[in-house]
Amino acid sequence: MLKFVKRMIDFSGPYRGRLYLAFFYSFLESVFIQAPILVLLYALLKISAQILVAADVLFMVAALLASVVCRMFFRRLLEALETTTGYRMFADERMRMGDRLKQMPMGYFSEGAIGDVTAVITSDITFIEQYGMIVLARTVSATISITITALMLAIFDYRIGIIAAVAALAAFSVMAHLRRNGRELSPQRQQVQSDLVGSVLEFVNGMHVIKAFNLTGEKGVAARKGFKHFRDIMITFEKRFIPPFFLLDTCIAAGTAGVICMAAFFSVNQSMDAAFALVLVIFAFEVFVPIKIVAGGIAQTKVAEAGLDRYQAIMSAPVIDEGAGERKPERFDIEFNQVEFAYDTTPVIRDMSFRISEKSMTALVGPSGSGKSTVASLIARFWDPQSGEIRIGGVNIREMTCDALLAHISMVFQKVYLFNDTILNNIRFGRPGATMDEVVAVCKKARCHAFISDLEEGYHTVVGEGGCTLSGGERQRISIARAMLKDAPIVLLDEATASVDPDNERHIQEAISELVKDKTLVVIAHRLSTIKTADHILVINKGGILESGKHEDLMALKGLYHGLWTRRVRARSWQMSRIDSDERSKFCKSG
Amino acid sequence: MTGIKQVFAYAGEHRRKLYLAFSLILASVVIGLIPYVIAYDIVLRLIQNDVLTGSYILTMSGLVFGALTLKNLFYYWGLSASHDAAYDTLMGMRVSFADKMMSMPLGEIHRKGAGSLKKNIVDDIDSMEELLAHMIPEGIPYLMAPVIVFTILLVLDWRLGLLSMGSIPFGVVAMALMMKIGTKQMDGFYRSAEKMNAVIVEYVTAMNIIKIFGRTTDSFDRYVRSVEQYRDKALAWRKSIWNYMAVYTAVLPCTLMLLLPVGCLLYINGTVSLERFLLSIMLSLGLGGTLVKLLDFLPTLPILSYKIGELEKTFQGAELTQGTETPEFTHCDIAFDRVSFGYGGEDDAEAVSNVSFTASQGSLTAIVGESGGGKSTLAKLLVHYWDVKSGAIRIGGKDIRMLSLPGLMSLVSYVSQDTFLFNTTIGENIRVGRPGATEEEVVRAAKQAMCHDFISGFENGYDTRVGDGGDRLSGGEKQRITIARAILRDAPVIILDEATAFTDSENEDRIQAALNRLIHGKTVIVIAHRLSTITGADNILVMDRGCLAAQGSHDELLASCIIYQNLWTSHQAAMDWRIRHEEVAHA
Repeated sequence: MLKFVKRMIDFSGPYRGRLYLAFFYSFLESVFIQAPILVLLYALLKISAQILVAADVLFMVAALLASVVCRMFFRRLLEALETTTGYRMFADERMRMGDRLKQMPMGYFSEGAIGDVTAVITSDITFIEQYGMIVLARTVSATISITITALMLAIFDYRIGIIAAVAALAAFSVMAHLRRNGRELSPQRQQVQSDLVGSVLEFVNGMHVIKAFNLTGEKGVAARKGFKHFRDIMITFEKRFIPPFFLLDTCIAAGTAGVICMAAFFSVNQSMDAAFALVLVIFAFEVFVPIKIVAGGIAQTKVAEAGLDRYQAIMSAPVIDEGAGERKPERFDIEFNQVEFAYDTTPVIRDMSFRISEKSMTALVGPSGSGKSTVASLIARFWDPQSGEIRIGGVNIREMTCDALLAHISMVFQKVYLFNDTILNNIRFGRPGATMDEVVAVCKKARCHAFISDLEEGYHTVVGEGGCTLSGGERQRISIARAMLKDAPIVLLDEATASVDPDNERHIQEAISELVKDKTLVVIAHRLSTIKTADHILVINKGGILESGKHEDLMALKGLYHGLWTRRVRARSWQMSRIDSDERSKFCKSG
Repeated sequence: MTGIKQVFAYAGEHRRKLYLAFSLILASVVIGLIPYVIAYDIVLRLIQNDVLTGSYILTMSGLVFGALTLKNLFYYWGLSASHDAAYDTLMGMRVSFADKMMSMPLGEIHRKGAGSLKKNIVDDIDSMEELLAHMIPEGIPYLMAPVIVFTILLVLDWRLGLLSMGSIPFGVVAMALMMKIGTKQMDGFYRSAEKMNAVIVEYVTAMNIIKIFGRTTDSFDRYVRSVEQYRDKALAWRKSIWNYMAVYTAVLPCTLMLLLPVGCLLYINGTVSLERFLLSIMLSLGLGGTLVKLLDFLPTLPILSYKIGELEKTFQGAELTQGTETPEFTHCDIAFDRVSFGYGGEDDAEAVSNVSFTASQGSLTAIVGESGGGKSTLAKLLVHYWDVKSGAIRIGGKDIRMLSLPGLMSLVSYVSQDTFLFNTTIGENIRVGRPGATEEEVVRAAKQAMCHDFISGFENGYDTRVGDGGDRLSGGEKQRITIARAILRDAPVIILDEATAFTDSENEDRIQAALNRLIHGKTVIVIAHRLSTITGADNILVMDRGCLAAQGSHDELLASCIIYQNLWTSHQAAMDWRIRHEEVAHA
């Protein structure tokens, strides 16, 4: 419990002072919560001594009112402090996280990692921000209350103090057991959670298949089974906490009964003032309340702590090693010198050396998984190679910061991603601060001005998920316009494989031609036309360069390139037809 | 209170467990008053200076312990029942929303997207667990307990009873105001939370673009803005309620507020006995713990109600018009009869307007046109992704709205670029096409779809699980498995997105061979992008801005239709294109 408190204090950074203040207010509030009982004791003592008069009542009214007003006051201060601190602190954290993520190597952003990061941001942080602060302040003030009560009891009557202490210690040891229990279950809980997510995603993603193949019954049952499994496991988890909690409450019950019993007994044998015994009999019910408050926060602290763990794991993942110097290349030829690169332990690029001259066009060709996309990613420093050097204009790219390097590079990805924002802002992403005229000019070159102008809201149309529906080709042209606006001397182009409409395809091709004018172009080529016109073709297989040269040279080699080329030429001349079985067997053999 | 009612609806058959939980926890609250009554007796004797005997002390403290333990026993028993009820209710919600999803038009599901539906069914419902498992079953007894105590007090002495309720009106007024104002602000808060999360997810997903264009969070201002807006909305919401919260949190549990001073006056005047006065005070004290818990519980009610409301709104989509018929068909001619359809509201532009054509059994019909012309909408209407706005689509003379979805789907296979595979073995994924197909039939379909070879290459062959290293399957391989599935299904009508043939540039020839096998002898409707593939089609439909501009064979259209001529020219040019055409020519 205290560990959590310490962690949150460490975590709070500049908000530490506000956190301490919150603890203080919370403690003051809890003092005033007890105040009405003190007034009651005052009245009872007067009644007991038979000296209660009307004038005392006035004092009581004043004291009660004061206690309520003070509590209100500190509650209000605390409420404001807790929420403002929580939300401000985590707004800052979200900003920090954004910056940190940007410095991580692209390798970090695999499918799974994106899911994890998203989960941490959307649920973990939100939970800590909403409940963490409240639990924290409560826990701290309850702990202070426990300490003070123990001290007071020890001063007034050590015997009662011992009874209370024994009960409290027993309760705390049960609590320690509870926390262990929670820690053990936590990974299992996450497993069940991710199973549930898996089954729901399969159900939702596969809905069209489920419907098309009439699996509504079968898959509906499977989904239900998933829901039921989740419920069963969660119920067993919850129930494991019930016996220890009951035990904890039994310790407290025993403590309460013990204090009452002993107080009465001591007053009978005259070793305690009757008035003090009376105070204790009523107070016996209040003494252990802070322990219950602390115990009540256990579940939430567990969740918050697990969330903090995940958040800090992300924040401490290694960032890419930023070069010290701001060396600027004067020219833009690209050189690979004995480059080796592996994802984890799987080698992807092996001993690769080549040179791409400035303002030339180089096509990377090869089977999928050969490593051709990795070459482009290494140039952009999405990853760093394990050994060897990559130089641009003679400068090792490790000697540049990522920002400085990427200032020289435009990249068009195979999978077009448009932000959920206006078309204008999507294009301006290439160069914030570009004027409207500049944006329109590149859009004309990228062959997208015409269709944008046709939209009702023109450049201010919102695109992206849930936005206006653009065709794949139109989206591609917008992404080209974006890259064009950046106007970098090196262009890395991952050609889209998906086929688009003929009209669109021509527009895209024209747009690409505009983009690469006078640039050093590296293209991950899928289309025959692109490959054939390249100044230089690198045929990549299993992470190494197998063949290189111009189209004609490579064809003459009759090697891998020749094979790839002929198959693609044949595929291009495909005609859709319902062939008869003889021809079919011919096809099967050729595959 | 509506929140509670909504929850009850989902508890369904498990409602009895909820009632059980209520009764147990209520019993526990009532039993919890006994120690205070005992304490009252001791206090009274101490004040009156009575002599306490040892056996009296032991009995009384034993009773305190016994009553407390009994109270705890009932409480945790009730809590256990309430967890059952809560998770049953969550399951009830999930089942109910999953069922609703099955009757939603597929188009609607695609529009919402898997991510957001997953969030609804998993995260949103999960976020209610805490509220349900503790708040509902505990909260209601906590609401009832004060009523019981006040009734006892009223019977005991009506003046004292009224006095002990003194703090209630202030608390209730503050709380009502809090709920009224808070609910208004809550909407803004949750909306901004949703927006911020969407932006952050976008930021993470599009990290490659962020990097390549050198944006930091500072300049990626949508990120900053959404985070700040969320913070401000959250603070605005809390700010709007924190005064009220402070008032009721301080006032409500202070039951002694009027009872103590006025009670003292009554006692001094001799109009109330010490016994009654003391007993009412002790009972009020006994209520303290319950009221504190009530304070935790009440503010969560509007949140719960809001969340359920949002979920229900999401799943309140229009349902598809479906019949129940699965008639025997003698022929599978397809007819579009003046079909119109629009994605948006009534006045929105139509994606397809007034399209009529027929495709006779065994023919190959191609749909061509610029993107946005309505090609794929036509295809999706035929598989009943949506209902048409006007007109009718008939297969074998039967309006598809009269058919049950399984009935329609037994006639039509839709092969698109989407290659969804279930997380099971490759063999099972193919068998989805026809459950009960023999091993041989599955292998035959796989051979025809050109995937037998690579499947046999795996260690476990057809028993290889798709999920384990799903990365092992390339896009083209997945595509061919879905084609094998469709081949096994052997539906008489095939709707085909021609782009399917080009999902994997490396293995285009294999996919093409598989497709040729699939469409053998079928009625085929193909959405075509590369015109050269469909020059041999029996009929070509030229779509232009949602309208059917012309139809006919390739030669007829080349001769008569300007749109088609342009498409053909563009296509030819695209096939010949080279980057830096001119430069290379000069070089």
